Amino acid sequence: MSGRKYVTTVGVEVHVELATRTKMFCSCLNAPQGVAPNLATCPVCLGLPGSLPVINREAVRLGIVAALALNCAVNPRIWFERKNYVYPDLVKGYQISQIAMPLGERGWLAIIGDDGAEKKVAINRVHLEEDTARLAHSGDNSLIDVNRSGAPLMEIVTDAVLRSGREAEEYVRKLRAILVYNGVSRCRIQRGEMRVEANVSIAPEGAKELGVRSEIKNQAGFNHMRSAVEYEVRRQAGALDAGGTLRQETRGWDDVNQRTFVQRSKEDAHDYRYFPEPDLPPLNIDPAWVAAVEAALPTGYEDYVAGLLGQGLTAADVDALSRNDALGFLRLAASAMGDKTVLFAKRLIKDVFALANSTGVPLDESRLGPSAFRDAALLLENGKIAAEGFRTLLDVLYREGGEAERRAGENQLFVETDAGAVAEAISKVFAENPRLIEDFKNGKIAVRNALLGRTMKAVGKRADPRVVSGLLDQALQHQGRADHDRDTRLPRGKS
Amino acid sequence: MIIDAQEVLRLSEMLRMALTQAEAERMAGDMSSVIDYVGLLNELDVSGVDAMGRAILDQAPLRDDVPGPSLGYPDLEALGGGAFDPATAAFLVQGVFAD
Amino acid sequence: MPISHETYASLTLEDTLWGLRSGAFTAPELLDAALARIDACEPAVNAVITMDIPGATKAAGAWPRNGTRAGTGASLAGAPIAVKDNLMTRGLKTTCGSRILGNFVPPYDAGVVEKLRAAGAVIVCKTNMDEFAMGSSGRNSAYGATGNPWNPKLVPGGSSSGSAAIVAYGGVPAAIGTDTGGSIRQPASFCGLVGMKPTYGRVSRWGVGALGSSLDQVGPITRTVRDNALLFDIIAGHDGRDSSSLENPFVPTLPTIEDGVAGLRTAYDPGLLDRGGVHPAHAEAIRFAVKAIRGAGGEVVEVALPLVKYGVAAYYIICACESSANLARFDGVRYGVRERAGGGLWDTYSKTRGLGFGDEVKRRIMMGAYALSSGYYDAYYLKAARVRRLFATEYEKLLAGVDVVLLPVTPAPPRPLDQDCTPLENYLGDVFTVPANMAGIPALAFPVGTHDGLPVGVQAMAGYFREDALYRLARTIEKEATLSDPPWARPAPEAGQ
Repeated sequence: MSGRKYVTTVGVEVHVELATRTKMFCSCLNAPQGVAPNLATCPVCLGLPGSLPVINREAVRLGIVAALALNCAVNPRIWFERKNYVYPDLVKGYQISQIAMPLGERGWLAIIGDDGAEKKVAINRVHLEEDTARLAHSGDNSLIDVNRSGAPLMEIVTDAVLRSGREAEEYVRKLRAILVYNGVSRCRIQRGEMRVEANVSIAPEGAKELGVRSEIKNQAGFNHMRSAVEYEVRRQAGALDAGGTLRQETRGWDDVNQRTFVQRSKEDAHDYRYFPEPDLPPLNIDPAWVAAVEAALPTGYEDYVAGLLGQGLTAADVDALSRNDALGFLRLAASAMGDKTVLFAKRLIKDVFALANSTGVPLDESRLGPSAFRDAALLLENGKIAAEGFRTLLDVLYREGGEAERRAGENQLFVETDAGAVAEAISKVFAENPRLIEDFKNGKIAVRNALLGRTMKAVGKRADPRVVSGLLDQALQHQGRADHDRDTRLPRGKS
Repeated sequence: MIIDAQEVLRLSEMLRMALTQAEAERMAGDMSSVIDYVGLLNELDVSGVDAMGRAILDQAPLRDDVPGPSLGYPDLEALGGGAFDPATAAFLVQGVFAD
Repeated sequence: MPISHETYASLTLEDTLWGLRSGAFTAPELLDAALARIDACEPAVNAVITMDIPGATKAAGAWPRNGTRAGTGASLAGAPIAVKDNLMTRGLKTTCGSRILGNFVPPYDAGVVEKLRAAGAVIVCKTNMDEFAMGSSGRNSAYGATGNPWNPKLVPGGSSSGSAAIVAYGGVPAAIGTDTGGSIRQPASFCGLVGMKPTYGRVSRWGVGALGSSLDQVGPITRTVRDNALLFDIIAGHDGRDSSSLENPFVPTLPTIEDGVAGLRTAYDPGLLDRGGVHPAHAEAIRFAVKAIRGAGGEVVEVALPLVKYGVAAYYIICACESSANLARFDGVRYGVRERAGGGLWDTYSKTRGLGFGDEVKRRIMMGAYALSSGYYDAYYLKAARVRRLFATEYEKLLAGVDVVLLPVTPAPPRPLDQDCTPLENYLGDVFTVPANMAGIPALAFPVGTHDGLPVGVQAMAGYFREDALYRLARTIEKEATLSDPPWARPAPEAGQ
């Protein structure tokens, strides 16, 4: 190695599947995982002759949300183009995409750069397009599942401004957190809902032009991407140091051997022959719509995190929420930042993430929604259910979904403090435990907890422990006085 | 000739549409004469004309995000050609791997 | 009462509806006559790709008599109609005239087919066409050429060749065609019929096998102007599945069709007729129309149409580019005829598409791919798209001052079926029909007389949404025109004649 110094330049292209109910251009379900193969299909997403696209408003709205969250300008008049190439997963022989006038342009996202200072990563464009079908390989054949064909995709492209694999990883992690927080996409990497490509080049320090770049396709995770970029930097430097030249090419990442490999060289690069999609008129984006979307945007991701820390959550709490993709969930559950936010956050971390661990189902794949969670937490808070009942309720909601109130009722979780029943239970416990009563009278206050436990057991978990506790204390006081006036009547609790 | 048989064959390869050498040569001649004719358009000054301008149909409609009906396996089998394989519930083709 | 196929053949659509309503015949009787007439004429003409006898029998059976059953509002109840084979028909093979779709059965109906069925039409067959609507002769069909019923040795025009021919020989009183650069108007004119290319967006393109998506429109082909308006009023209207479907309310045209031409300003370009290339009979047809309009109290003015000569070049590029992408889906992978090759999937693709498409289709796919490819886009596609805007602007300006513009339909009469021409010669025949597609405006071809035993027509174009003006004008001229010895009034032609 000559030890020459190189400057690394990385640009990142990210594709995410948008969290809509239906596909980009047809009303088939956008739930490729949840439908049997080829049953979320229609003439449009099968590419049958005569079928025509109609744009999904919600996909455009989510695109605007993403553009705004990434500080992009939303173009007032956009259109779609056809991107032409032949592949068996591309049903029409073209993908409806955007090239000349993307939905959003010229944004930025702040990360901590390699020098430790904040760095605004320039975002070149945010555009909408459609996904391809899924190919699986079986022996000599390929199997095509058209369910994913036409799913709404968003592509987010940075300028070539990142300087290392670490910066690229930091950018993608932050991007993912922002998109999930804003409800744009669920970004589950293992399900292909987020796909990352990095363009990597190196040039000698001081050089005016960028070096020859290679494009690394579809890394399976953040750390893969970082490893791939770092490998590629080493490989390119090694080649240049050895006096070689680099070719512009597309490379894949081999995670087993921790190296990149050539997939396609520039010579056989596609000529996509883009031209405006004649089946769709231009789309004028009403500024009033953008303003309304902007007004409805939640607090910015970074402000929200700062707010949580300001409310007394620890950095570890926030990290746990972020790792579980629960920040957006928390924001939806507690609409205003305040005491409830902290309370809900603690409940999420303590009870809900425990469920994620025990069931193996992450929060965003569970049936538990933010409003059901909020309602359940409030039932506990207001004493309508007990702590044990709350845990049971969360478990039910997590597995089966539904509304908190209804599920609590179905599972008989509501506290029903029937004072008569409690009084009966107390009498019974007193009668069965004369020694404890005697001890209590003799000043052994600690036996009260044993009596409470036995009383709770006798009345069952539907009783509110605080009410039982109060009634028990009253009864014990009466016991003390009974020696004097023989009054064994118990007070009547609330009916 | 503005376009020769070799370029025609390069295009047909990209389009995955087989042409014989004779077809390619004939097509090169036909295409060249059409391309030559299209040069007529250079008589017109189109500077400043917005190709995306429209007098009518200037706004794409937006669809509500509401699921509609999808097709069933009998529909897919009935498309004809036998490409849909009921056993795997998939369209079956010869294997394709990264090109 | 049963009706002979000779009598049936010359019935207009209005005649058949009147007969059905009055009880003169029933829908099944009418269908029997239609099938007999088609049987008698098909050997010589070849207008049909696929008959739908079970479907037609079932549809006709729903209207045993008195077509308009109280309250149904089914305005075409029991009338036999033919549909071009690039409109999707659920459960009925739809080939687009191509070998590559020789086994394709769509799982859905085109928007226009839905409207026809809802109106009670009896769809009898799918008609022959130039493959993927590319052509103006009817010769580019994988299912054999179609003959012109006026003279089966001549072409009927295309690409809606079968739809025009079957109406001309009296197989059905009306048919549906599609028009991208003249594919309704030119065959209608060659066959002595009325053919409407509506305003772009007026009729749904949902379920129409696309040629040039920004140019394609569906329209009726009939023997009379009134029939044409009647059918147009049924198929027009908004369809939410087509993003290019016009949302403004549709006003039916039949109620005003007898309003005459008083108050309509009509323009034509005499210079265009005097310049070389227009057959004297076709120029004379325009002069005949001008005289008829003036005679009926209409105003006619002279204008210049300087852009006409650029139309074919720009149209051809746009159409080729759009069709090259539209036809990329035909790969035999999910549907259609797959030609399996031993060398793997890419060989199978190449063989499937190489054998599945005819010469003209391959030529246009190649031409479109060339015009869009890196380095050529600006010179070809973008240039043509801008010229198209010039057309739209020119016609918007012109049609702000006049209601209708008259043009010939074609420069020349139909060629012999066995005469080959170069592709460019074929394209140049569209010179007078492509402007309406380029501008997106409605245009109607209708016959004004016969010359040398062949019909001669003229074309009228109007501003956006002004199909009503075209029908009023054509209805006025129709009253002055005579077609001598039309094929629908003759015995069936003999095969091999």
